[in-house]
Amino acid sequence: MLFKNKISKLLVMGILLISLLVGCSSGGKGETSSSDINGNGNNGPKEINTDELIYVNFRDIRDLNPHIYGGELFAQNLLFEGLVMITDEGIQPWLAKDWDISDDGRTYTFHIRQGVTFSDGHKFDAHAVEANMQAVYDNYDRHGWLESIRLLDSFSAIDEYTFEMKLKEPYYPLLTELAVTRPFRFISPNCFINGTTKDGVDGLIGTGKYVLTENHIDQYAIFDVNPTYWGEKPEISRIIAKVIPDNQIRALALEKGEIDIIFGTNMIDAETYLEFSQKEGFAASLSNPLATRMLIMNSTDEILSDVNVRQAINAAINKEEISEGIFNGLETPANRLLARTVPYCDVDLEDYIYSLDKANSLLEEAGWKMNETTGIREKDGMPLDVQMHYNADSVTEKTISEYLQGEMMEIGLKLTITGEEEQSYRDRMKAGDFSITFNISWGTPYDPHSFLGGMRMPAVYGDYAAQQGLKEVKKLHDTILKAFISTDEIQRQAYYDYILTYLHEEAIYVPLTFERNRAIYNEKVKNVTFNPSQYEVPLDKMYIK
Amino acid sequence: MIKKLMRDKIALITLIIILSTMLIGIFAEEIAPNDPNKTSITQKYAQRSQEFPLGTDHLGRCILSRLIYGIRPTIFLSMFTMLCTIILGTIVGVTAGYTRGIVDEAIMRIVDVMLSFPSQVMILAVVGMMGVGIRNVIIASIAIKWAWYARMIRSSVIKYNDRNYILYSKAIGASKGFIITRHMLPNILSEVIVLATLDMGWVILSISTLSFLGLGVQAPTAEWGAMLSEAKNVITSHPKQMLAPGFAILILVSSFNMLGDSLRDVLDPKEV
Repeated sequence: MLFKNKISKLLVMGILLISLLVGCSSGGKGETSSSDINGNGNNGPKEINTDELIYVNFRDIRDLNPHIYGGELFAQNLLFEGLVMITDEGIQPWLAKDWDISDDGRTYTFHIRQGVTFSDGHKFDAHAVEANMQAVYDNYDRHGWLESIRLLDSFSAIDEYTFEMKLKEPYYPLLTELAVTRPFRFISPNCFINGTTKDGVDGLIGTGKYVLTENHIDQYAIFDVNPTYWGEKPEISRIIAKVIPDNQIRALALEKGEIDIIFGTNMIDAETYLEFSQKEGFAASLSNPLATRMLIMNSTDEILSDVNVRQAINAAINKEEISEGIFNGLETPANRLLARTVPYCDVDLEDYIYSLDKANSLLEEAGWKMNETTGIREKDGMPLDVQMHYNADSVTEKTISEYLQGEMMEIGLKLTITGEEEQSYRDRMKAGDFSITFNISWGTPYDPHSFLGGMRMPAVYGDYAAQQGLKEVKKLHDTILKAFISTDEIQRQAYYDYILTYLHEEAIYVPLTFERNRAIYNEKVKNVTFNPSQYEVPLDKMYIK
Repeated sequence: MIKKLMRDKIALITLIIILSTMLIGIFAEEIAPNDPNKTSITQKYAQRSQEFPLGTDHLGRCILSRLIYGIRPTIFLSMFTMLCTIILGTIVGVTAGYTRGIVDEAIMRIVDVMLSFPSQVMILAVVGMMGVGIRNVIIASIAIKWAWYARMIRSSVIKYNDRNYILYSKAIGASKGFIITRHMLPNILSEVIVLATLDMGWVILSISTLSFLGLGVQAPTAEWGAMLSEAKNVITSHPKQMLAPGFAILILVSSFNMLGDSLRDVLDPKEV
């Protein structure tokens, strides 16, 4: 019986093994043959559908109310338009034909474009602008990062097509703030709930090139071209935005032709980018450097409150190696908080240089002595153990964290890393409940003013909370405000000099690389470009051929 | 018993695989060619070489060394989990089976409740409540799995309750402790061992699964499930990354399962 049992067992195992092998190989064949069919289908006699583009995002479009911050920016951009827009050539007219600025820089008069309607037929005029502006203003506390809201004195529709804004102080970045995706975009007043938008909206009706036709939560959303659009209509009449959270599945879907384009810094890792840039039938695009990828250290943390420790960490990070090793050279190393090319940021600073010797001597100076048995430094019996959080939805942050974990061990610092889903990661940042975490400058066109302005307000990102341990935090924040309202260029530059130098010396930020936006796509998609803002996806400019 | 086991070739092979894996795990420091956590990003995804016998991963860490160090959390933590589960299950099962009556009823209804939940879902829920980390995963696994053992052991105990030698022991006034330790445990032990061996595979997979999902062992500790998870991120560009941890889990888990099968054959009294 035992013997028989054994034989039968061997037999079963053998069959299983064979079936496994057969299963694998036939599966492989099946895949190749099906992709052959697809390939023939795409290149062969079958017409390419030039009307439809399939875009992919890592999460649902969520609440697209343009006056709050809970939706996906790419979708808000398709539906809603602003008074002015930012292009590579600077601020350009959009729903405002043109505008006048008074000599004291406090009064802005916008001449509204005529003949524009919302997609529900509601006329777009100065009164609609005023209603939207009021709705944004009603939610004053939520827009803490926007100086233009805080400095807003009054606004009103002067006649049907003229809108005027008065500021308490002159504020030079006003037009930029009006141009960015949120909150100054226009939704039909018919969608307001109780005369405002802060508690939600009843419909998503804008003046934009597309309208939202369907949304299946966490699956896909369909945008169709707006038939009553006032300007030139885009080439692609339907955009389907699928939701695929996993990086590898996105790449496979692109390869299989289920999606047409993957767009965005956090959506494509360097390996995948390089793979598709060489793959036949696909193309890849890379933008100019847009923003600084960096770490932020919490100065109220017990260990990180010491500037020497912060400088040591800054010195111990080999940015060249991150640039080469993790980004395969796609992103260049950053040795300063904001690139010299950013307005007002061409300040002479001593770059952070990679030097383990310097890092070690700084830690010694701070009183952290090496414990040879554990390899971790200690001070008064407390180990040099720092928590680091990263966004698990980002394709590169985990790799960088793990790499840094190894690097920091070299100087006797133990980095404990934890990944979190994007929303809880952001909530943690805003609450200031972190030691080290990833941060990013806001990129063009927000830099430097929105990035610096955001530091002054809690609950924007982690900056405010992280800076609370600095000695001159009050002076820093006051100077940021002074730089904004200063009308004298030289004086303004002097304020920026102080801000950037102080932040640099306090080493609260660890610049890593200059981030570049990227896209990989099926070669039938043409004219894949990048807007100045990395958060916008210029889907409306693309066409299929 | 051991002789009989030795005659079974599958049992012998699987036993050798398991024991040698454990030995490698114990002497990881001596055997591993490199430091498992030493990153050298410039050498990422390196091919097989003298220095890195199985190549390197996405951070340029030696895969073989990580595999060897990964034995520790994979096998030893699983064994620890199993041991705790069995001890808890045995105590509860023997108590219920030996005392019967109201105590038995109460315990078995609790067990019923525990068994009515799908175990993997319960573990996810417990880890979700208590937080990420290997300690919580182990606690959750024990908390979910003990009920199953308690029920099995209780039924064995009941089976032996009416044996003559136990009735005799009771009649001459032997203490409960004596009867349980001298008569009950040796009898049920063989069944427990079989159950435990069969279930080891399940525990290894469970810990690896949770590490794969990022809930178990945290970076940079090497663990097979976590390694597989990292390899998954480059499945299109570097598919070979998955082979080493994947095969390691496959071989070890099937070894435990086959050994459990053989043990059952050997220890089953009906076979004699």
